[in-house]
Amino acid sequence: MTDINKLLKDADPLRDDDGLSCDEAQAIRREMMGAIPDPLVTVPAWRRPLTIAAAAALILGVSGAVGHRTSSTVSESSAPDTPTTALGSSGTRQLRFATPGGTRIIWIFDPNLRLQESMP
Amino acid sequence: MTGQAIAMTATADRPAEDSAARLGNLFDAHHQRLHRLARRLSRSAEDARDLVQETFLRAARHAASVPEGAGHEEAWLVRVMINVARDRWRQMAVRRRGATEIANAAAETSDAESAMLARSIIWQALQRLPPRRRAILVLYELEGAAIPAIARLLGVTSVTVRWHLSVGRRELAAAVEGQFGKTQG
Repeated sequence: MTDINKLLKDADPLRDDDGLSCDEAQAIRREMMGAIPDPLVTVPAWRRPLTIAAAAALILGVSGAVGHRTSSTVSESSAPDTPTTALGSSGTRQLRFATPGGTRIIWIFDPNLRLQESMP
Repeated sequence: MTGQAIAMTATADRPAEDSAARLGNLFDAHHQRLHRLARRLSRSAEDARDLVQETFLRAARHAASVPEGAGHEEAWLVRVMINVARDRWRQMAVRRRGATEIANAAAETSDAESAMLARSIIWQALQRLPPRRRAILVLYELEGAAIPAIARLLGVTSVTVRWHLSVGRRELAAAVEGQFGKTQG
């Protein structure tokens, strides 16, 4: 019967091993300390919902303000300008109106135009 | 905006300092014990040193995973060390090469050196065992740890420890008797 315990104790490498020297231990310690990951500057978990809520509120506020401004501009300018007719300085007949964008359009009618003549 | 950034840096620095101090204490408290086990799990003193270093490097990289309390810390470190040893054991395919090395050792040694041969054979046979089984044998046979204590340390049941002990002893005995039979026959 093989005495495993005795064989293992006889063969124990620690019988002839002095263990880690101070230098070896310090070298391993330095390696370990050097391997500590740099702390990431992260927002604490409790701040994340507040940040998201603030961002959402900001987006809603900005979009609301822009929307309101656009709609008020459109409502102010979208009122159709009543076309007016007038006589020009040279006696030509003019039709004047403004588009919702603010462009003023003036049609000058040809005084020689005869609709009846152009009809077939 | 600047004030907020400074405040965040300050809060992040303290855990980093705590973590470094804790790892330093962890190393100081456990490195000798861990090295003794590593030496018995490794083929050479150099391998043992590497094993200890890799174990503590893993602790540094996953400091948050290291549990609180000396006993829990030690158990965590031992398990990590056995996992590292297992990875290396698989990579080096010790199981396949071990048989050749034992045969060579037996063939090259005379009968007068039988004690040395036995030591060589038992140690090389031990190297062939899976790391967890080897650790259980080392803890029980060389460190004199009790079976429940080994079970707690490795996070397994006492039945598992007994089973590994039984199988490990049988494998070592077979290796020793087989090689002695070869050299004498």
